[in-house]
Amino acid sequence: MPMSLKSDYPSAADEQLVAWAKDGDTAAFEELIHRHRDKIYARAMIMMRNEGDAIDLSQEAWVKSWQRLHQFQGESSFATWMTRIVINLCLDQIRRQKRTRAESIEELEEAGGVERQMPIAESNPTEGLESEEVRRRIDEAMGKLTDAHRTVLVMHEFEGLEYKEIAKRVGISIGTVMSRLFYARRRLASLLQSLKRERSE
Amino acid sequence: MFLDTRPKLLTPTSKPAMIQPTKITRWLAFLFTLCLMGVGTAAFAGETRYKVELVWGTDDAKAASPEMKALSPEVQSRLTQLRWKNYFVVKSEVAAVSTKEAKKVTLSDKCAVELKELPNGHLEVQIHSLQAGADPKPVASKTMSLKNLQSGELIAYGGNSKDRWGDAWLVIVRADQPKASK
Amino acid sequence: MKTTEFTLDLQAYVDGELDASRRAEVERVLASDAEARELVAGLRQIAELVRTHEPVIRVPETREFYWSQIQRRIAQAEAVEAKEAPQASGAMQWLRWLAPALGVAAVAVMVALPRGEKEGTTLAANDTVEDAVSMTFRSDADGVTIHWIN
Repeated sequence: MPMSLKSDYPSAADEQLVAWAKDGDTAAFEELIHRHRDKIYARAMIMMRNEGDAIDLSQEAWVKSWQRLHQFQGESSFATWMTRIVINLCLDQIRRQKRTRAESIEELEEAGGVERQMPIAESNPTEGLESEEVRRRIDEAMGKLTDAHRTVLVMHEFEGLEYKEIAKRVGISIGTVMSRLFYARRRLASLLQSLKRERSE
Repeated sequence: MFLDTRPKLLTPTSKPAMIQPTKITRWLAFLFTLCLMGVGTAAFAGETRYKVELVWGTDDAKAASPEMKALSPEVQSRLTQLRWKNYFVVKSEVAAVSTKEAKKVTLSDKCAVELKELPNGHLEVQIHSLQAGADPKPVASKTMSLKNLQSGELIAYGGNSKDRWGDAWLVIVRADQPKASK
Repeated sequence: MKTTEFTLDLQAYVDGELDASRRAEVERVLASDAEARELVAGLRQIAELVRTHEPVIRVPETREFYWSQIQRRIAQAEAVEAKEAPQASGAMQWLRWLAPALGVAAVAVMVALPRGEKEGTTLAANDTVEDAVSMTFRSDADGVTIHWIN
């Protein structure tokens, strides 16, 4: 299928580019990649915390999306569809890598932590900070969570998935989703408070 | 300059009985003219020197060993399309190559390159995979015109490292003293 | 002392995951329990913070290089599919992934070499040398041709 030379790729909406790409227009697909590549890569990077894995998995996500483009019917935005693909690939990779040792320790902490009375956050740990600095600190703090906790947090907060959907995709019970999410939030708040204290010294 | 490999010619003072001096002189003049025009390069081919470097691409700030030096900034500045932050030279060799003879450069226990100047004015760079106990296996062969190389262009092979995730290897070939650099 | 279950219910309340009857029960407790209200406020704060401050991270590779790697992977994937299902009508589809890449490479070559010489092509006399090069990338501006091997 010859590549059509459309000069208005950059101004075309995602839906139009998807339609052209479904017809085999590789340039339209390339424009979609260019438009969304940072977000897909970022999602993989947040999950995997490793640039090599993030590049590999984000590229694999694009390959999968090309192969399954006919399945995308516009039920969500194209970007959302793509992030779901890359999240699934990251989950598969995490399972393959079997990073279990650190998780066992954190699971014990998690079980005890839910029963503690202390509030999630004493005060806003990012008050007074520029948005970019807040993002940076959140990224740093998320890097200190285990894969299990970070995964649930990413899927809930960034992907907007419900507990049931997270449970299904990760292969755990809804109860486990809830306890991991609670622990992740509590730990993140604690890490942000520590960063606030460190940086203000 | 060319190597003077002309067969020893008869001088007018040692004339064979059947050849007239005027014919020898004309023949010598013709041959000299041909040489000036650069014709007959097979007989007068010189050697050109090429620098061959095995380079490690990494985001690590330091090289894996102190022997590895940073790639020259001039060459590194031309690898902008690649994503690694740092490049260290694992091995650097200079090979003198001509159309008469290919020159093989072993860069590591896994990799060698063979350089040969082709009659059509190109340098062929063949990369070989080395394995203990087996013959070298050529895995790819690409060329670049001598003219481009002399103007300072680089030809390189690269690949993702199988030993260190996220790192890469490069084999960079360039004229040792190009006439003009980019 | 709150049970684990109730603490997680508070979280589910913040996340809108409770059904109507359970939500009403939680709201009844919240009306009289300051500690529970504090926990809900904290959960809302951290959830909102994370949701609105997703880290912005950029792909460290250039557009062209990233795209060329994806093209190569798609071509490989489709070549594998074609081998496994040779009767499929799309068996030769993977070629279209190489065609644009080669086309771009050819354009780059022609721009770089106005005298019409071809670079990066195999002119070796030995045609049986295996070509493990999966992609050739040329930068005219940098005067470099890189042949990438898998």
